[in-house]
Amino acid sequence: MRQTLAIFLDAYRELNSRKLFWIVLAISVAVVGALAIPSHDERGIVVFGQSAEMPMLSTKAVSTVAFYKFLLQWFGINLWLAWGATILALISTAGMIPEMVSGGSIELVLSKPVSRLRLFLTKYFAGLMFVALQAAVFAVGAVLLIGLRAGVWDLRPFMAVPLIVLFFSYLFCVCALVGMLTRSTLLALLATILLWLATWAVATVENFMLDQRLRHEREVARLRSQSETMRTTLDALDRQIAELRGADRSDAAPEPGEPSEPDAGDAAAPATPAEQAAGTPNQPPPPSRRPPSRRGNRSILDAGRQLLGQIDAGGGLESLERNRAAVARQVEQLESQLGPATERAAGSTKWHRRVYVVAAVLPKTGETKQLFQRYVIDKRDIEGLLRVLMDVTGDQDAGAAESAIGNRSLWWVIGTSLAFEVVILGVASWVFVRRDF
Amino acid sequence: MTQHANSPAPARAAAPAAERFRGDWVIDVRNVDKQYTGWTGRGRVHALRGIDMRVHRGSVFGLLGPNGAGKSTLVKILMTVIRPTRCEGTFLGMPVGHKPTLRRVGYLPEHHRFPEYLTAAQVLDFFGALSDVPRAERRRRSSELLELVGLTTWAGKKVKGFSKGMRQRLGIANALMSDPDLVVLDEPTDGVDPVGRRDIRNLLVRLRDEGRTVFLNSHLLSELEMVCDRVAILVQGVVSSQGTIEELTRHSRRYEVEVAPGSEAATGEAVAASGAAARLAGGVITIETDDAARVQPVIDALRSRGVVIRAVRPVRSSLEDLFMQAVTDPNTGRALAPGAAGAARGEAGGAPRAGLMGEPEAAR
Repeated sequence: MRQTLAIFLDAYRELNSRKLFWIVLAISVAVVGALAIPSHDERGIVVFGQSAEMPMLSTKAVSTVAFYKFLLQWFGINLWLAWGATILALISTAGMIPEMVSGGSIELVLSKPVSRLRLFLTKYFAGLMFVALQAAVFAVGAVLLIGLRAGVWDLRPFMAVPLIVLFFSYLFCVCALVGMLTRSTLLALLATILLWLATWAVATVENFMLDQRLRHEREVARLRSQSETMRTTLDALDRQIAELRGADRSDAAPEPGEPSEPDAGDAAAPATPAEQAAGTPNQPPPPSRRPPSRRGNRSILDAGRQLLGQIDAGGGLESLERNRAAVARQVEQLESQLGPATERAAGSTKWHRRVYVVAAVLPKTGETKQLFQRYVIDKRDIEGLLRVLMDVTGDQDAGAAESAIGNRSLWWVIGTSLAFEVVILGVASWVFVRRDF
Repeated sequence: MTQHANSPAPARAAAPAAERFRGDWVIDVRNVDKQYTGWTGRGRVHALRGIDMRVHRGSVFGLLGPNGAGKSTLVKILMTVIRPTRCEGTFLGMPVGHKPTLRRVGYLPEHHRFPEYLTAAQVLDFFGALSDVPRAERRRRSSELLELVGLTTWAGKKVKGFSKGMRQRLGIANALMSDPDLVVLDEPTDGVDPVGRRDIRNLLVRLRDEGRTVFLNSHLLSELEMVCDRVAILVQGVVSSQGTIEELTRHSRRYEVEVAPGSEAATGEAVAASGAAARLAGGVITIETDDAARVQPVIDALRSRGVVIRAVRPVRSSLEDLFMQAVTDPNTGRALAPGAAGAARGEAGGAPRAGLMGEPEAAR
């Protein structure tokens, strides 16, 4: 324990000696301070008394607590801690392992009664202290910000500490491995940034592919639902026509039991396979998602009702047959669209699965930082923001992929990332233990 | 360090007697072998080829050798910095590589680099803690050792401002931080001025007097000669010779008789007449013996011919002579190539095939 503490104390002294550490700390404080400046009203955001249109963050969409939490997520975490501060942290810590294993230094530590494995891992975790301290300062500032500005003392922003440390550790393990193998700070830094870019690129492509897949699958579901509804209408028309013809022939009263109102379209479209794959099986799709087929179905149902009304009003057999022919053309048209749409959905599913496999083995940097939103911001505020987003953009599929990704399991987000980290650290430790210095 | 060289040494820690090493041989290793292999399996270098070495408790042991002979490799194997290909025997009574044993060892690596963001006191505190020295003892020993090496006024200064000599002094203090039974010093006088070197020599002697064992690795043969009880000469991965300086120079003892100039003919006659195994060169008669009685006939012959004798002196080879002899190829008269690879391939300039302790290659 004495040796472990000594290594941590030494790491702190090393960080303390670097101006960059204090600069980053000061910027973290400044970022939280800057986020205290804006507030929100019914229109959107208010900065220095000037109101700007931003319905997503208006008091109609989100609470004041959530307003500041969203700001912390977007600007404090996504922009500062997970980009600016991380780059500066990597610059500060990339040299820790190469310096430890450099000639003249490594002999001093390896000749001590500390096992190599313990030495390496302790040094590695000590390297994470940089971001842990930065995130801790940020979290304290976030709690103060929400407490002072929104009047709610919520300690959940401290979730930022483990999340940011996890996020950084995915990158730092590669930095440690390359630094240990090459003894070069520059190469370690370059390799880490390359991995970071790779994970970002894969995540972005995966997000895009998932968005495409969801849109295509929803399109297929919509076409299928509309087609079924129209077919139901067609069947109803056929029955009415047959009844009218029978009445004409026998002048008999209609059979009891009028055709029931077609209700297939009222049922919400089932969750698409992509949604099922994107979230955990036991997690329903985001409640904010509106069934995309409902609006289209409703217009078709209205048309059906209108037709039946015409029948009841005695529109006549000829008129009914004309309408039947029109509905039949629509069914044909919908079914002709269904084929290409299904092909598009299958294609995007295939490509998304391929990217998904690549994404599975890489650390989930973006999704890890988004966990802050999941655990710190109340669900109804997230739903409120998404609802306004859909209304503003008019895109019923807006944010579908993000929502699906946001509902992925912790095992997917942290488990697979930690598995990646364990493998990289395992290789680095094995080489460190076996290597001659 | 000058003004502190004679100051009392830091008191030895009150460690239980059972924890102190009581065996005779602090280092007793056999067949130490090290082959370096590249990533691809190519470029194999046979750095150590069956080293046998024993270092007695309470002695100062010197390890000599030209660059690339394998000295640092051997020391690093003992200090667990390098993993041996093969190694038998014990290090402070435990197998080589036993980490807890290193609590009782102080080590000054060659070209060591302390973290530059630490002060001298912090360096001692950090590495003392890594050696598992309790905090209170670290504080006490830190101030005592900094005084010993003359760095008391620099205790709070960062290492990055230190000169080479000051860093070396700090390194020596660091090696003593854990109150070790064995102190391994790799080039301890490197970069140190003559006064500092003398202080280090005095310190080494005092460490020995305190019952500690000192293992020295140095190029400065004259310094080693002054302080070492035993030495080993390592050449191309093999121990060329090993023993006390007395033992190693016994066979090279001789007497030299210096005569006045202008009597060369008479001197030559006297040497021939004496019947001694002597040779004359440049007015100096060299008699290959360490027995003074065998010199007397030469003196008698010289005096009977009226030759003026200016001096009669016993001479023995210096450590440097021994060293040069060991590292010179007897066939070519040129220095042996550094490293052991050539020797492993049996090329000209290879290492001696047998030493006092080292077994011949073929025998292994």
